Amino acid sequence: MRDLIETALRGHDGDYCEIRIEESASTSIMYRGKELEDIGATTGIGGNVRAAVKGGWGFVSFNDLDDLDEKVSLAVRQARLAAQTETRLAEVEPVVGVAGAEVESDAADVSLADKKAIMDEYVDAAWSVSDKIQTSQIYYSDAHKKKFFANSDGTYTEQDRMYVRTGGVVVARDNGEVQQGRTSRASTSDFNIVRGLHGEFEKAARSAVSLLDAEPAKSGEFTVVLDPTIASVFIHEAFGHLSEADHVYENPKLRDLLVLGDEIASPILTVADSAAEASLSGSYKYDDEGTPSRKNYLIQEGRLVGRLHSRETAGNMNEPPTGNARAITYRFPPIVRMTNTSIEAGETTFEDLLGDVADGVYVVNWLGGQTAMEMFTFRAMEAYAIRNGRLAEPLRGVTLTGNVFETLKNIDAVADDFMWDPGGGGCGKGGQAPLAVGAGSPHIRVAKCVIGGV
Amino acid sequence: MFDQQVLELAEKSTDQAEAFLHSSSTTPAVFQANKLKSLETKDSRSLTLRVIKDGRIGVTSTSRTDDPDAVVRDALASAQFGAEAQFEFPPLGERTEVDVFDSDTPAFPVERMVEAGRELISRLLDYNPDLLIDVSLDKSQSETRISRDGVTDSYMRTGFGMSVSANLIRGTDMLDVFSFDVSCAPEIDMDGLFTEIRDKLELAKETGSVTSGKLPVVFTPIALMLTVGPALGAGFNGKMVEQGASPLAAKLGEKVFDERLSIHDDATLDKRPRSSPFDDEGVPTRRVPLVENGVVSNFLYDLQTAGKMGASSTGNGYRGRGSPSPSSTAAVIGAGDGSMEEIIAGIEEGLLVEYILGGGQSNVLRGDFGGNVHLGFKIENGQLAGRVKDTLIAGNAYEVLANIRQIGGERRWVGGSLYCPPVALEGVTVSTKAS
Repeated sequence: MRDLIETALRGHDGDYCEIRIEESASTSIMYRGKELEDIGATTGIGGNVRAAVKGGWGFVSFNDLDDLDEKVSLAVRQARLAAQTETRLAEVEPVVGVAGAEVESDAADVSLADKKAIMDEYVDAAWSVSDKIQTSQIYYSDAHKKKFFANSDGTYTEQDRMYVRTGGVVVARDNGEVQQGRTSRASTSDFNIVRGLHGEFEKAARSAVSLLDAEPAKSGEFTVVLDPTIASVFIHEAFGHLSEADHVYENPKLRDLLVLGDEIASPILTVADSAAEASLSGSYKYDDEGTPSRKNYLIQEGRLVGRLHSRETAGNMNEPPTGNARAITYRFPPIVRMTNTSIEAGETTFEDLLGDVADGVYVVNWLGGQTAMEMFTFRAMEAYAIRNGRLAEPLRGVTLTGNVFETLKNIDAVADDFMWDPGGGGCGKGGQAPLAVGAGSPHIRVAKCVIGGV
Repeated sequence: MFDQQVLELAEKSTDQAEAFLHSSSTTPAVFQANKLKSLETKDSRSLTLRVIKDGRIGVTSTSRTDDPDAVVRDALASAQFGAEAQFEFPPLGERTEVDVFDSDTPAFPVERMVEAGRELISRLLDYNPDLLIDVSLDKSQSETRISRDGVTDSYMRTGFGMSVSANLIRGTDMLDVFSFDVSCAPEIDMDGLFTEIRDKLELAKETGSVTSGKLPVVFTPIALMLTVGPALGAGFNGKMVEQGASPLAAKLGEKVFDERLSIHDDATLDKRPRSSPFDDEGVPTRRVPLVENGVVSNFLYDLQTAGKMGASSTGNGYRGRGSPSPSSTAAVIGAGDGSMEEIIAGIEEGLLVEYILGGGQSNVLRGDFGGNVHLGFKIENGQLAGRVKDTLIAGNAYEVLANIRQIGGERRWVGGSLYCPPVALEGVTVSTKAS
């Protein structure tokens, strides 16, 4: 493959050119209700050529690997049509590297029959909880992907990745009321995380059933305590996307709002993004431009200290490349993405963090989240009232929303109980979803946050 | 042909086999931050083999073309555990007449796409030089080919689309306005896109705030798609009905909605990007009434789900790859009366919602919708009175559509998936930080 790619790159006459080829094989098992709906394998091969001429890009993707050199010329021709002034890519030392998957237990070594047997038990577990369970969607999936990459700077990388994920949504219904509970687990190294999850699926089902009797949340402004899962979604959605430099570099006003060194959050907040962590959902050794991954601090003690870059955004902003150019598949050019994003642990215990709250809301786990620059909104799966420092009755239908800049400053406590979310997340941007990302956080508290109830 | 080779092999070891081949070529031109960013050519192809063996369904998909034996092996492994087939393949060859191929589209020069993008950006920058504008145009052509029982049927479809979003930042205030238009032919209403963006930016110059509580809320077609859209999409999905998860499951033939409401799903409209002569299972498409004068009249089915329900496929079996599932093509809502101005004129205090953030995050199965008003305007004494911020709306599709305040008379397309007028609803909860 290396010969094939490097030969095709040789003749290009753009400023920059790269080729990425991907081979994949995946398995999925999907149950709707108690019934197995889909089971089987998918295989694929495909690739792309991306070329730059004077700051304009050409991109050609394909399944058919023949005539790669013609695809290179087409990409360069397109780039020339889009040419502007100059191509400014941050310098990255060329590397030749092969990164195997660091696998403890490989999903490929487990038979389809055994995978199905495990999942059958989880479907039974979820449905055993209550006769109010109306339906469920429970899934298992695994994927193996091998990526070959070379660029005209002399970088050549090969990377293997395994990804295994299981989870589901369980829906309960009673007297016209419908509620859901969710769970998920993901790993890039160990098939065994799929085992022994009976309790997790039961918990999701119990959560759905107990929400049936929950009170609707009141609307208004509250002190809100976020559990590690929803806190990590908050930092990903509300702040993380603003730290992606492609939003910033061609937008002078956003550049003014996000000046490195400025105080943009509460001084107890430190946030990092790192693909270099071992074996998390968003981990890798080289990004999709061949740049090595590393840990990047974004906020340190409330100050904006960094942002995430591709080679192009780093080159245009004269900042160091961070290894965050990612593409969900060969059908897309890489764009600036998060990897494993985290809020670092603070010093308050969870009890103390609740203890000061006279009348507030505790939110646990999430159903979804979205942002439009300054505005964010996301939905908690479970929520409880906090009264005089103690958790009280369950609430349903809690949506959090606000302005990110105000909310970051309103974080008044960060707990000491950091955890990486074991579920693995899927992030969407520019039509590329769901991209595997990791997220971690301790419990955090926001002094003022708008809650909208149903 | 690889698909025929795979099918022949599969037929030797199964009771029935079907090859579904989808191939497409798309050419996008992408403008970011007022400048042309990239030109792309994306070719893709995937083969899905579906077999029935000992009464069970096996499915596999691949974009490889090197090993037909492996494809059949994967399908057989799937059939070992697969769902029991509740249908028989209908004969191929029947199709609904619909025009979804325009030869001008593949021939449309990339240079003209680039010109069109530049022109729209320069008109918008003439209006306001502080705008940051993203534009994307794309043309595509695809072929869908289904083979089984010695018969192959196929159709070609073209698509042409343009989308524009304009971003304006003032201090920490960011405003996003967008619009889009699609067709099978390279016939985009550029003036329409320009005027829509300009008018919304003009209206957003003033700000206003509404009181929290239940207010009359006017939803534009895009807002309807983002709010009640996901709820109704799930409610009329035959699979949800079959599972008993749809609140409409037991309501066939009952009046659930306001009697002025009629909705149908229609894949038979010419030049629409989601129309086709037959669905991804080779079943001819048709106009499927879902709500007639408030009465639930049909659900959307593919072959397998219809089989389970003792119903017939409605020609709504669609798939990217893998197994098909029931899917809406284009939802069409019947027009009522009155222009947008007339709808607003009758409202003392209310809200006009253009689009929301977080629309699909609520308890969609229950019919709930909710989210942050991404762009919306206060209605005061029958007039639009400024853009609202920090405002959430929430409601339940089944409740708010049971007693509609007013269905507008002027319909428009939202991309390829919805054709509807603005609708004014009561019973929507509005919450705002300002009050």
